[in-house]
Amino acid sequence: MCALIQDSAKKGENIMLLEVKALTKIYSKNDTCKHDFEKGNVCVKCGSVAAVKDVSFRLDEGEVLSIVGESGSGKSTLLKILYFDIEPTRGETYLSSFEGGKRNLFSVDSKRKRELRNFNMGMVYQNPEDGIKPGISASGNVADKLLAANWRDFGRIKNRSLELLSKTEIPEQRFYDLTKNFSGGMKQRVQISKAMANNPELLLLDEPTTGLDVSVQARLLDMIRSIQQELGIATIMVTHDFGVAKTLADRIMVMCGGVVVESGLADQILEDPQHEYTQLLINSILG
Amino acid sequence: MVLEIKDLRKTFTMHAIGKQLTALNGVSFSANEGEFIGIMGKSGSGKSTLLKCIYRTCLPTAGSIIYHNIDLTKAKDNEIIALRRKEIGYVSQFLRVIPRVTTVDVVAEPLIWKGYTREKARDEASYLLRKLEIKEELLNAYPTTFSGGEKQRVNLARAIISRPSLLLLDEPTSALDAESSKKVVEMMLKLKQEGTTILGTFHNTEILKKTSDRIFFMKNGCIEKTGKTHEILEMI
Repeated sequence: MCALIQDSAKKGENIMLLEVKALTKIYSKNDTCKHDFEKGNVCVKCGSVAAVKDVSFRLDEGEVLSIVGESGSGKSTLLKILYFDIEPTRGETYLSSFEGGKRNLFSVDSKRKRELRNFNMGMVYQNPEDGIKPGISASGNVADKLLAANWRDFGRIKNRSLELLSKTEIPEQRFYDLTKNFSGGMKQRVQISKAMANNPELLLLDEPTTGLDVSVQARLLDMIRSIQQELGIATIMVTHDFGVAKTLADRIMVMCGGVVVESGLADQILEDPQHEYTQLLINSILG
Repeated sequence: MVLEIKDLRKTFTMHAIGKQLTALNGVSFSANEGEFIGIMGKSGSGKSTLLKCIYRTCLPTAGSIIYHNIDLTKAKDNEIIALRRKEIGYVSQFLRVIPRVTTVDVVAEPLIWKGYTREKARDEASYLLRKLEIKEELLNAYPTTFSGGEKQRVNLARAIISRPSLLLLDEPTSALDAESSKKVVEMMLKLKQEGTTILGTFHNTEILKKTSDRIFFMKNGCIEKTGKTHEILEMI
């Protein structure tokens, strides 16, 4: 697959991997209400909240897309919908490798969804505890994902786990330690190893560096970038930090109040933001 | 013809203060293969904005930018990404340093996009950096701490290593001493000879004398004067 991506990049063709259409998540307070979200993301009639409203975009093979917005803008909800953690109210998602890209992923049963998660996707949550089990070792956590992806050969599982942990710079003497005794940055690196374990074609990152100090953050971003480039994994990264977004992403999508207010090339969003909200965000960046 | 720009306009809208600022006020010109066009004018005359509109760092308000039959103002983001990786190079006044990436790797990256092996790309990058007189010990250092002139040469190397067909230069020599400037001029002339079309803003008229075929003199977002290099330089 890697060679394929390089070939397509050489020719300058953009091969679509993921297509998201009108994705919407409403936390409804009144199911009989015909919601009116004309004035924002709270229904004026019943007070229901649209966390994500009519979000559409496409992602190409090997591309990095960053979703930026303040807390409450719906960016994490969007990511969790794509990873089947949250069920959308409506909307469609197509993955080109799944049934020829013709079947809406939300229309399949939970067993197939689990398979998609285990075989095609990797997720890194903001809070490492959501992605890894504290009571088992670093290598055990990675092995967990491999078992879910139907790896059965113990030797191969072990080798793969150790390979990934070395790649994410976990010291060898800590491979078999319980992850609950790890620092925040190390837990996050274990989570990345785990997310990459099944060689996913789609990697989802939810604020992967938030709350870490800058040196750890830079190392983690550097690592994500080199792994991402080496393997050509298409990546969607949610962040509220434009600095993080521009280090990794080709394109940035800006969300506010559950909707996409603008999207464009990373440098264009930073230098020539069109929407009032994006201008406010950019002008709020320190130094 | 490589590039044809018609009635290009750019107005920045600043929502917070409810103001508009016009940077380009109807710019039209065309450029041929292997042509070097120098752009001059006071700061604020729209030189950088013109280059940024071509590169899609700024979104034009109106007009068209036809590059080899593609209207860049209408091209999708992904098409622009592909063009930037293969054909259009841009050197800004400031280096965008990528944290924790060494000089050689910064310069090698465009070749890796083209399908080179990492090793081959790094070899070519080192060769080019040496030609631009970047000191040996800086090749495998992080450019974050480099001097302005060193950063500028790294920046230039990254933009030209994949031999773009269109090269946009925004004050690429402003921080260089005479010796490095000379190297950069040599390199630009070589690229030009190989067919690269170059559009560059310069304050240094000596460099323009050596490199450019034509000069645009910009004022208030328009091309005020245009002509052969010596004609314009005699006028100002």
